[in-house]
Amino acid sequence: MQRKLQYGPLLTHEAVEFVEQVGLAYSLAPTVRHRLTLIVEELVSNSVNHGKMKADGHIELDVEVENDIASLRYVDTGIEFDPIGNAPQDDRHLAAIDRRVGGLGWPLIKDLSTNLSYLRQDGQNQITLSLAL
Amino acid sequence: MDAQDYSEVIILAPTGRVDHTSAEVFQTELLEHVTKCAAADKHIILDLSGIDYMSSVGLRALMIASKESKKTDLTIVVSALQPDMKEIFEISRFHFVFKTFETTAEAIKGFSDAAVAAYAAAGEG
Repeated sequence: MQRKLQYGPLLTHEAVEFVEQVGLAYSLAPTVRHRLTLIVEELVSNSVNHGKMKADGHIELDVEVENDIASLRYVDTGIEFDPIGNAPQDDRHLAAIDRRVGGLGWPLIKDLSTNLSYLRQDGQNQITLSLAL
Repeated sequence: MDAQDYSEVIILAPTGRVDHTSAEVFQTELLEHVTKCAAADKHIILDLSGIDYMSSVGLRALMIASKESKKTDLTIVVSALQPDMKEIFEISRFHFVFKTFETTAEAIKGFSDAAVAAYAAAGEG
């Protein structure tokens, strides 16, 4: 299933709604739906909050389910950002008092998924990842 | 956010989803309780049994509450995580941020006898 969503105040909501439709269409288990929803919310939040997307920007979501794997392709038109090489420093190993209050989105995406890859192409960020069903 | 008073312990029991739409309200309410409890010399058990979804904005709110509590003698512990929430806590290493308990009944045992008795008297123990 694919969906192209225009940048706007309801973008995250619309993306999460799309994931719910995907979950129903493929009868995904509640835990898989939970993980996929969380990943998509984090991806869209990053695009919206850090991607400096323009008013005419958009995201694309493409989910395929095959052979016990759900594959997600996520595209945004924000500024170039490679989450594999440049994600915020992981401080989860530090004592609570020394940790930042934020920066928890990418660790969630990375630990909940496999085969995370990034590509900058045609002025767009493209992230692909997999989830075991 | 439901709040119940048991001697020196307040049990906070938020419900639903903590996501991009609700995290701001969640954080505001939580920090209000942190401020009130610190002033009243009380502690907080955050019963998360009613939370079935929390994205990083919710975790951020919890981390801010933790840091605020550290400025005082206030203790915040977490109880009754649902399995999906437990996974999020583990990934985020939040069991190093908050002492966590399987149940709220277990969590309250870490406080005074008066708190345990008040909790039992309310039919919760």
